[in-house]
Amino acid sequence: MRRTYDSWQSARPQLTRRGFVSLAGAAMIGVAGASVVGLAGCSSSDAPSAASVDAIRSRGHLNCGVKTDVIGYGYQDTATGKFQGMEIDICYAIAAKVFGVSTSEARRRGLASFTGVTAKTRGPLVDSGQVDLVCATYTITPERKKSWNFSPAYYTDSIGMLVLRSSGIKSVADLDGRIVGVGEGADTMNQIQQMLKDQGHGDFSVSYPQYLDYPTLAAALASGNIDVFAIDRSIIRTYMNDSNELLEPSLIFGKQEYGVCTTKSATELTSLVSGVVKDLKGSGAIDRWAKKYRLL
Amino acid sequence: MELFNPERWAATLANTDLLWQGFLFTIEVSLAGLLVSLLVGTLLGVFSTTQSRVLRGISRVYVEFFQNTPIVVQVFFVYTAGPMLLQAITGAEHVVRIAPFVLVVICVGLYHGAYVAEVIRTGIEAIPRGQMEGAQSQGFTRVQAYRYVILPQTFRIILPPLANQALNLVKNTSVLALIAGGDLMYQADILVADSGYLQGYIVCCAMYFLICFPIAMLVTWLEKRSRAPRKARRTATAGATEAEV
Repeated sequence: MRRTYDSWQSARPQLTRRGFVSLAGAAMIGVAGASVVGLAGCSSSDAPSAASVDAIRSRGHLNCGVKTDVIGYGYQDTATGKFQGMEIDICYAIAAKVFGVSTSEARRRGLASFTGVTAKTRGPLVDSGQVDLVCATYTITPERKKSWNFSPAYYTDSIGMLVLRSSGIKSVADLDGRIVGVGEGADTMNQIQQMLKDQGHGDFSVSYPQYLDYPTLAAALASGNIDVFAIDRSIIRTYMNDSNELLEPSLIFGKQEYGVCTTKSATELTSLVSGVVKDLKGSGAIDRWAKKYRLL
Repeated sequence: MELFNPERWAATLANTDLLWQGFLFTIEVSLAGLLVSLLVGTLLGVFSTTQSRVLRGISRVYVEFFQNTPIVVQVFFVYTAGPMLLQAITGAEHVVRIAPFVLVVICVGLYHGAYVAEVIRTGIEAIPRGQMEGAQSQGFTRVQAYRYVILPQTFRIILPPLANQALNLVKNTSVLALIAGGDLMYQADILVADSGYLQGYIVCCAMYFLICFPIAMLVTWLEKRSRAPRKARRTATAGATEAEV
């Protein structure tokens, strides 16, 4: 045993703990210095160069950021690789407008090409110009409006609460003392607390553990670690099965409006997109699609 | 470079209440987990040095199982299957939930117990066989020989690797974040998810460092002490008595 330590000692690089501490101190001073320099360097933020509508036309296709795993909105069939859902249809309608063709022709010629985005990547992807627009269950908020342009809302979503059929929870009144699992970084907790208050249950004690991702949340519900799995209704469809059900489906709360997101600099594209969304709503196409895809 | 943005740093540092809460939780889980791992490890470590084939077999299988499967899988399995298994065992009407604290103390304790068992085993094996024979020839029973002769000497040899295990144990408690456990990593993740500022992770790292660095220094010190030649150990006998108390 002792010999092992000795040989380890001789092979050990000559950085002692004391040396490490002083090195760390020096590094911290360095970082502090760099931050000052960095600030000065970054003050002139260069606006991302979004493609103009002409550039999209000469490129030959519209790059759209969509969800790949939200059934009914943006969903990529893993077998065929094909995208489907209401947001895919919206993208084709926008592409048709950009290229001046009919929607069915845009679809046939593949004038919209799709890139999968997540909640974390959709902002950066549209900023860097890798996609021209994002149509991916993106809620319009005053905060986000400061950073990006949004079309008028094409759909209004709300929060859904999934419970196990075997749990005996039949209404919101049964939620006292229960555990409601929510997604990290989501506003769900505040929305539910507000809803409980509005329903006259402000005195309920409910805990809200936050989970890193939806599959873990679904597993926590299935295994009985939480009583309720609360997320946006758009996402909840993916996790519905025979053993769970939506709690009080007719109770609509935590409304949020989805809009098509473009960069601040893409003014021409933004007004074009807004026009398309208005037309789709006016013509009843959105309502038809919501029925067709059985949106909750 | 948003990482150096002073406003984001200010916003993050103003919101460290929950991080400190997680910091304390992590320390509590670590201490309880360490206790479990020492109990399990000592028992199995002694098992693997006995002459009983069965006890040696139990210890071997246990150690190999826990050393060769990831702790994340173990935690996830206990988290998802545990409540239903407990329901089946106890015959309760509903699933029996396991508090995240208890769950991770058990998982981390059992996982590191396997490593502690190996440390103890090698420590005991480092004591010359003559010591046991000598003790027994003096009328000590086997248990007494372990208690008064072998283990006190083992103690000094195994302290550095044990402290190393404590260090890894602290870091492994961060799996709590996956099951919404309320530890330091969980709180940091929420802070980052809510604000979108990565600074929360840096503060989180600094807090883990605050726990781990003293342990790392302890390891270095113990190693130095354990390497010292026997005659230079001023408190060799004191150390042995200490171990006995």
